Amino acid sequence: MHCLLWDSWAIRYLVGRRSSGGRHRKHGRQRHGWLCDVWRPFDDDRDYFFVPNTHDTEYLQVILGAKYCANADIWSMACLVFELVTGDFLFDPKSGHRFSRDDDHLAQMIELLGDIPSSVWRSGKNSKEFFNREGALRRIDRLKYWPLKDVLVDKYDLPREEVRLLSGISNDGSWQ
Amino acid sequence: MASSKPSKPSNKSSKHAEDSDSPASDSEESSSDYRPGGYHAVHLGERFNGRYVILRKLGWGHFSTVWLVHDEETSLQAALKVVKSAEHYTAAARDEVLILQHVRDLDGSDAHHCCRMLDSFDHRGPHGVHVCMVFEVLGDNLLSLIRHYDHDGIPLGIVKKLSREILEGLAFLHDECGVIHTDLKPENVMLKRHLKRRQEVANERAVASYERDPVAWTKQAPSKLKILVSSGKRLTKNQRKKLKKKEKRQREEGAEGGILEGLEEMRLGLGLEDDGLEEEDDAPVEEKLMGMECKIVDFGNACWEEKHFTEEIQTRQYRSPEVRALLIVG
Repeated sequence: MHCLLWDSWAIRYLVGRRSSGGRHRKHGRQRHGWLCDVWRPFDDDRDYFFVPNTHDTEYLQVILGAKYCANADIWSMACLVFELVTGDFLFDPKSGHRFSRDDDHLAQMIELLGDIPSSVWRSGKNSKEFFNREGALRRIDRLKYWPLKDVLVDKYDLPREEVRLLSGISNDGSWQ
Repeated sequence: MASSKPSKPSNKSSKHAEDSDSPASDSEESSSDYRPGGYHAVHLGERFNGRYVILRKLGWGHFSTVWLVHDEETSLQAALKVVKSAEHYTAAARDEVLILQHVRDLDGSDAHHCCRMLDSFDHRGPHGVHVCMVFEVLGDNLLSLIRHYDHDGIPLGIVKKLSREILEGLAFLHDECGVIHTDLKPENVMLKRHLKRRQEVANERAVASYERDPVAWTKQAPSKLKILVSSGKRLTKNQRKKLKKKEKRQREEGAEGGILEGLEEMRLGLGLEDDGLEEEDDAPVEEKLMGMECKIVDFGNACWEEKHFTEEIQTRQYRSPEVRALLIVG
């Protein structure tokens, strides 16, 4: 996945929970890490991916069925950890003359995490407001893609090995 | 407790709407909020619920002020959060109390890195009824830590230790309590203690001052300025300045036995600059941090998994895409 920090953090954390027992089966469905699955793997550096053992569709259903859930906290967690590591906000969107702060926020997410798959943006209730038929942002073009792990290495001079280690929460919650 | 809080569920017009760029503000609470429906004009020495005596101000948020108190029943210090009295603040605070109680009940051993509410009650004041919550006293929040490292990043070993604790806290909240925090950010994670000895000294001094003469402490007159402000009287900048000066002079003359007034003390950056306390700071910060637990605080925006209070959640920079404001998923 594109982003060590949060796909592994979020996914491993969530999956770790799941494997610890069925306690958090709520509303008859399991909670999944959608961060990983909303954006399909974007780069080829896969060795640290967590490969989910459930069908993608199920993930999407969860994603689309939920308004927001506990995973919202995990997203914030990833932003928080990035800030602890670098001292900067992970996302700090601003509005411009021709686009809103939400537009910019989405653009920053895509630049960092890759394009949003059509199955996702098509099914979003209000995605028409932000995306055109091709799935591109309506008001912002010329995105500068920069995967998070590269940002950490290139911009913040973190050793690749450390970036890797940052994802090192194993399923039992301990550091590898 | 957490200073600078973001919006309350039921009050959408407040902070998310503004989406302030900086999630933290260092200035003070607005004195115009000391009015009916607003803050309670807490004064030093004031007694709450028959047992909590106000020692000094610790911080403030858009919905509450937070004070260091001495608990006369346990003879320990605690942090008292006094919520604004308007109906929607009160309603939201009641939800917060329920969530905190639930978390506390499930976390009997205090092992899950969530801040602990020790007590809660209502306080009736001139501005209405204020929900009050009593917490353990904590230290610096993670934003202070980020600033301590000049926004250059915190050493990775410390980040890992802190993150692990926060994740443990979240796992507990999500899986055991069915609670979503919805406003996780550096300001809302606090270290158990302060980084700088100096800040703890300010608390210790207030405690010592109280202990020297508890009776005199509880008989302090509230600041005249605050009374005027809280009675809704409009003062010009000059009048305000004069009153402040006068009250400061009176304090310095020892009229109140060296008792410092909370507000003023905060304004003077704890008033300890010239105390020669500078670097009696013992161990290196990194060493201290590795041995220092952190806790998730401020459940003012938290909700139940089954019952959301609002769809507008999270401070902008930490907001996830499924949140309605971004509307990726419906």
